[in-house]
Amino acid sequence: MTIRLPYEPLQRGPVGRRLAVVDYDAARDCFYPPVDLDDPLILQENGLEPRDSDPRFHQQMVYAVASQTLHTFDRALGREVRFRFQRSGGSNKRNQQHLRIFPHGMNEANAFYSRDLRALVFGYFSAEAEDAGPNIPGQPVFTCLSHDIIVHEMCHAIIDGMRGHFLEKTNRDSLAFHEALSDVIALLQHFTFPEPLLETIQRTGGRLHRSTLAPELSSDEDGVETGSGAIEANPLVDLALQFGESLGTRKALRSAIGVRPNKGDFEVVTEPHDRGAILVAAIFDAYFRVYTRRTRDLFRLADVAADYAGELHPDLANRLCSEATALASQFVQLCIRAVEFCPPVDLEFGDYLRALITVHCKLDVDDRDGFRDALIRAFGRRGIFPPDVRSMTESSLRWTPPAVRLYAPQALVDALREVDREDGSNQKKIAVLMHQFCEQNHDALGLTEGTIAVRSFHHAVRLLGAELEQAQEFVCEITQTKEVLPFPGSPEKIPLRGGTTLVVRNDGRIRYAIAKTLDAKRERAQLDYATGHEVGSADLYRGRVGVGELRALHRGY
Amino acid sequence: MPKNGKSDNQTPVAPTPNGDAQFRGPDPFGEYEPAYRSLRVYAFHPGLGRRSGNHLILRVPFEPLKPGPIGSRVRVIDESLEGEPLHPPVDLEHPDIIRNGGIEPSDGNPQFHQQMVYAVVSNMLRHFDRALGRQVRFRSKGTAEQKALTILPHGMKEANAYYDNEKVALSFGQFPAAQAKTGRNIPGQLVYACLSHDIVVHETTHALLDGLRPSFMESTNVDSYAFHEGFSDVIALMQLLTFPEPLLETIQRTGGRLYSASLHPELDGADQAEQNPLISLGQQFGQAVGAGDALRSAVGKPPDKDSLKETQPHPRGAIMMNAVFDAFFHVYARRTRGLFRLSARATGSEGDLHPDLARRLAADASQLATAFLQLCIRAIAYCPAVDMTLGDYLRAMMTVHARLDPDDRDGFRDALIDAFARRGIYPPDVASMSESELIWKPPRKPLSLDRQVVRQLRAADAGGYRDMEAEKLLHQFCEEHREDLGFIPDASLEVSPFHQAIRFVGPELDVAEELVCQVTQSMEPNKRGGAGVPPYRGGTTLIFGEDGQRGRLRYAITKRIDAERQAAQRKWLKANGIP
Amino acid sequence: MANPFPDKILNVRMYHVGFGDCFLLSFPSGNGHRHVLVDCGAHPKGTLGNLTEVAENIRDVTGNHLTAVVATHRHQDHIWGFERGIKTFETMTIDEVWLPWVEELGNPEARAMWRNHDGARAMLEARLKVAAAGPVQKAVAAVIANLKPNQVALDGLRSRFGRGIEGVRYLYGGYPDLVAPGGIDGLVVKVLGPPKTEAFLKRMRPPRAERWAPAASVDGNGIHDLMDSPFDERWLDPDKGKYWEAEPSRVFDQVERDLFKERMADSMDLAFALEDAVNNSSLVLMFLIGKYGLLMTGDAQWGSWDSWMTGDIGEETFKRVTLFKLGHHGSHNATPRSIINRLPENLTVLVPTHNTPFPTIPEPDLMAALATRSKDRVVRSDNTGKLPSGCTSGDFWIDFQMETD
Repeated sequence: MTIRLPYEPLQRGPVGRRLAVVDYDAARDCFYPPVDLDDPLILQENGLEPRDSDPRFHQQMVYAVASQTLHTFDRALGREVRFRFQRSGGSNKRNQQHLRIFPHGMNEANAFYSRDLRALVFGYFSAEAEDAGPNIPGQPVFTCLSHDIIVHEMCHAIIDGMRGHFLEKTNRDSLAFHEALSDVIALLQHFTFPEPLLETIQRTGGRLHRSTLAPELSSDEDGVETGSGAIEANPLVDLALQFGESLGTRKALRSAIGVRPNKGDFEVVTEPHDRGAILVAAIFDAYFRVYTRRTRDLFRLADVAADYAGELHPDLANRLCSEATALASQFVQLCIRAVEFCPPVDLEFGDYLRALITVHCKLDVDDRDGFRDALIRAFGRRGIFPPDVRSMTESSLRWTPPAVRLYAPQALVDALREVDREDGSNQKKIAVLMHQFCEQNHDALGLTEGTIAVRSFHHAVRLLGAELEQAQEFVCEITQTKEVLPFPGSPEKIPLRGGTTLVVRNDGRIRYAIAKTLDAKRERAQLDYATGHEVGSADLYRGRVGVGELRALHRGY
Repeated sequence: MPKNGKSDNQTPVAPTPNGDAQFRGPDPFGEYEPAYRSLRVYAFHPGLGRRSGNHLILRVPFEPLKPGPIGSRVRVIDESLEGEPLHPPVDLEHPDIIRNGGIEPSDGNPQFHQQMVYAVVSNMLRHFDRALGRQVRFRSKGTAEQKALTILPHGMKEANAYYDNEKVALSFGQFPAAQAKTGRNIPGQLVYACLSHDIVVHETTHALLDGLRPSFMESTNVDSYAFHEGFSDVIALMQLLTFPEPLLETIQRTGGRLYSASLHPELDGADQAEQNPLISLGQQFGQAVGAGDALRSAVGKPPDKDSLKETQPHPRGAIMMNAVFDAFFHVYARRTRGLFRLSARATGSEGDLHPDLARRLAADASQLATAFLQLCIRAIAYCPAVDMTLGDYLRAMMTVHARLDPDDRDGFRDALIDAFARRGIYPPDVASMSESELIWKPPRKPLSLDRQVVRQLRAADAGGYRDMEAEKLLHQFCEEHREDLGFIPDASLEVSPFHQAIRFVGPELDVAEELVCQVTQSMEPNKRGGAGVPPYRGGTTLIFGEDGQRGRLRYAITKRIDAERQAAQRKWLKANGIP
Repeated sequence: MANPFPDKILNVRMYHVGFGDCFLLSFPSGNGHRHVLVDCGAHPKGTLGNLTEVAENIRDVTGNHLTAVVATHRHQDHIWGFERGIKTFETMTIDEVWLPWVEELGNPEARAMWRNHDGARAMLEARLKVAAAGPVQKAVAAVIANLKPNQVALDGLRSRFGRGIEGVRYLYGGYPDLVAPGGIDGLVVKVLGPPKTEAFLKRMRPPRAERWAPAASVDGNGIHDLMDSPFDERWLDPDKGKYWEAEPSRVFDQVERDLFKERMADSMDLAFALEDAVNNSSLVLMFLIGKYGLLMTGDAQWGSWDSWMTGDIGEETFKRVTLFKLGHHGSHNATPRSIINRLPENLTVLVPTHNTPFPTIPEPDLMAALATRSKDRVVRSDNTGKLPSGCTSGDFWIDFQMETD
């Protein structure tokens, strides 16, 4: 498969403007020669042929997939996404501009994103003798050759750039969300490539989800059932196929998409991947539901029986394919944009649902395809209920404006309009004004007194919605931190987080104040969580492995 | 919502710790703030009654309105050209009217006329805004400050409607229908141009095009006016095709063949065939003036190579329109063929379609129409600054489309090339009608402007002010590179004060964010001086994109005042009786 | 069976259990001996499977009575025997049990430490479920197996094998000297470790100067050498990454590279870090009797050493060592370089070790250094190499005898 990327001048590595592939192998303390994609020989081949045995192809592949993912986000958000370690206003050391990608960083069946290393590190290992799937036992397996793993890790890096605090375990959802969203994007990517999709459609009789569906799909009573185990039947849903297989299995997703949703799980499952899988399943549930809704008429037209599983009329297959791809990219955008409308800290799955609903209301007011309904149901059926909403209805799920009408002072709005200014000269100004504003209105904005920190601000999703004017919004992250001892005589203090995401309309009106107020209740909850047993995990690594490192909890990747 | 405007008339107030009590009205939190205003209009013209989804609800972006209606960019003034007031202005914010969801379509009620023109024009603004990713402006002198379009729904008593670029106003006429061949009109009944949806759009498009390209009003060759007309026709009919409701019935009654000239009779044998309203422009108007038929048709005469012998602006423009629709229908046919096969139903055969099929077809058609509409509008940004020709437009469309949809799975570009070629519309100086040839070439040697300048000019455009210092730098840039930018040495450069920051979003969400600058030159015709003799005109459209640290010049679309062009323009002027 | 040891003889019996510690110290006292058992365990992946026999042997030689049982720390290779042989121990008379302070239930700091520890272990296990393929994972698996807290053994120890909690001491560095514990005349036990502060506990890796293994592969046990290159050699960058030093945007210059190397190595032995953390909680005891000084280090690592080796206590101790139980089976990171030369030259070194599961233990350089220092008086539990004078080997043990008067 060929990937088309916007052209950017590349040095050897490849090293681009935001990504740098560094083929250093820490395990063996050696380098593999950096590829030069502008080398005429390679150019005329239009890239290197896929070859396991040639590290330069690996370099090309990680670069291509990584930057493609980067552009998916750029386009969905309508602006260039920033990495966490990039200072705003380009005034920082040049070597901090790049996210470094190590295709063969370690000799381990693993891959991870590390904020403080500013890197994605991919490992290699020898396939285990028993249950090596299609790999020859003992052959080297490269995590950097798995499209999914690259996308997945890349998503970690980008999401961390959008919401730095999501890496903090302030509740059992936070890390799980990171995992889930990365999986969702990685999976949906598959559905946006027509070629492989077409084949699958043929094989699954057009019910893409068939392999993961109970027969009573069309009775919307029970809704789309993502059940019935045999996910192999649908290769698209097998995240990181090669990787997964050479490591035995990847259970998390399977158990989630593989079985009937069960509200109980949401209460008990805590391991980030397993928990994340619940969210993934919910979103795919919605995806499949909308797909079904959109394509029902096609099946009627071609009059294909609901239980028909044979080959499809090519015309039908093509139609279904384009429906599925179109829908997939819509979902990708939706999921990415929703991150903008998440609270800055202490995220819970339910909040994400609210963000999704809010964004979609802007994107598509009358929602003919029933996206919102599908999402709400999918989450509801898995017992994912947002904190403090009255009911699982569109209107109560949508974020609401602050309880009193507020306008940001004109000076602030003017500054915000210039937010994209190259030199970043006005960044400071905005921060100061925003800070004042928040101090004055902390109650209305769901902030408590003091310790208000303005983290980031930028244009809200530019392409948001059909209407131009809706694009004129700004998103600002405000956070609050309180350092406390988890228990008397504890060696280290732990931070408790609260904060608000402000959506400011271009006339200064505060459209939304998406708050996680740092009140006694929240403090209590975070404290309990921090001292409760589940948390242990990250702590010992903190400092050693670094907070920004997801690998510690990555099983496999 | 107006640019930087308030959604309500409140001005931002300095926030007080506990918000502002005065807002505690029926909608304290602004939860019910409407995003749209739904207004009813005729999809075609009163003559069609309710059939073909003629009663249509338009949803236009919400803005606070004064009686008229008078909004930020559209002012409906119900006066005669001479300025005497005719009918009381409608107040769309009046509770009673709101309760009825606007005014019912009725050709007898002048206030409905006001509502309809407002709605239709606003809807067009929305189309242009979305296509160009910016708020389009109407022509205004010198300053970039925003100017509203004035509309006189009953400006005069004649079978006419026109755009006045001096006053920046549209004026629509009303007139008694002829005595014979008047279609559904009563002979002699009053007919209102402002109630023909397509006519309103046509005139609005003139205004919008003039705002984007003032120089296109100068007639420097046989195509100049023809293009203005053709473009307005294209937009007028294309946007009709974006409404699913009217589409649905037409699709049913044409067996899915939108392009067929007439609808299947509802009673076989008994009825005589009706015209297909979707592809006919100015149907009622045409009938009313006794032509017995629509003014122009999207399909028109079967194409032939010398159709361009026609030199009258309207028919010549219509040829371009036909070309575009030719392309449209080909893509439509190609896209939907699969559906017909699926529903195992010969395309040709009579009788109604399976409702699912009809709905699908309607959806596809409307989607496709939107895509074409956007393409056509965007192409304007890629047109030369002056001396426009129909062929140049083809090239502009090709370039835009290639930018945003490199793969072209639906074969837009081939369809366009064929359609234009079939009608012998060839761009000047291209070697062949191949895609690669037609797409504008990047400048011979890479040129670039400092990115900061590009950004400043963009900001200026967005903010609606002029950034003299940046403009100066741009001017310098042009001076330095006269040769490469296709300017002649001995004539001053006029940098148009309107720099358009455009933002195209492709089907795959690829974004083209660019700055369009127009620089023109005038050359006093030597020998024959004398007053009133227009100068030779040349110029270049500069399109800057951003990559990395530079504002790279992507295209320089030049019309150099070389001997050839001088000759051509002289010839054209002669032909029009100017020495 | 009657007292096997001649009167006036201080006997130290080092059992060979595989990869693990088990020492029986028998002090002449009155007309016979009193016995102190230091550790009894073997690594699940490196056991000889003789722990029950060992327990029974202990019962027999001690005449069913142990004055004190010491568990230096909770690793399987030090306490598994207390589970396997629990029946035996329950039948014996045991006066005292000495444990490191971190084992005291109800100590908040200890609780915190174990919560983190268990959490981390759980996580590693989770990771292993998928990542059981590479050599790294295999090694990690081995470590984890050793990390599993052995509740049976711990409960046994904490309750003096069902006899009640009195007589169970929780010791830490700086604990008052134990004089004639359990009535062993002339015996003084100094407690050197573990340090009471978590700060020390958390410091596992010696500074470069104190390390035996090169910084590049501080990965517990040099496991990388196990996987050969993923590409054939022609793909190795001939100019060793020169490009990156020259590369304009300096994404990966020397500094960055060192950082990265360090961190990767570091994070590659998470598991070992855990293990080390617990090692640091080892009791470090100096048994002083007559002219002899027995230094039992458990598996103490840098943090622990560092907390006492400098300063007077250090001086005092090293002067008097005659018998040195080498820590952590002779791994690269449990014995600071600098102490070698501070040990008296005539000492004897006891090394309880075994070549599985970690092929690179014991660390050759370390062994060599000790050999030279002690003039070849290094005794390995696996009975390789010749025995120095005073040593005799039994069925699955080695006795080392010292004259007292």
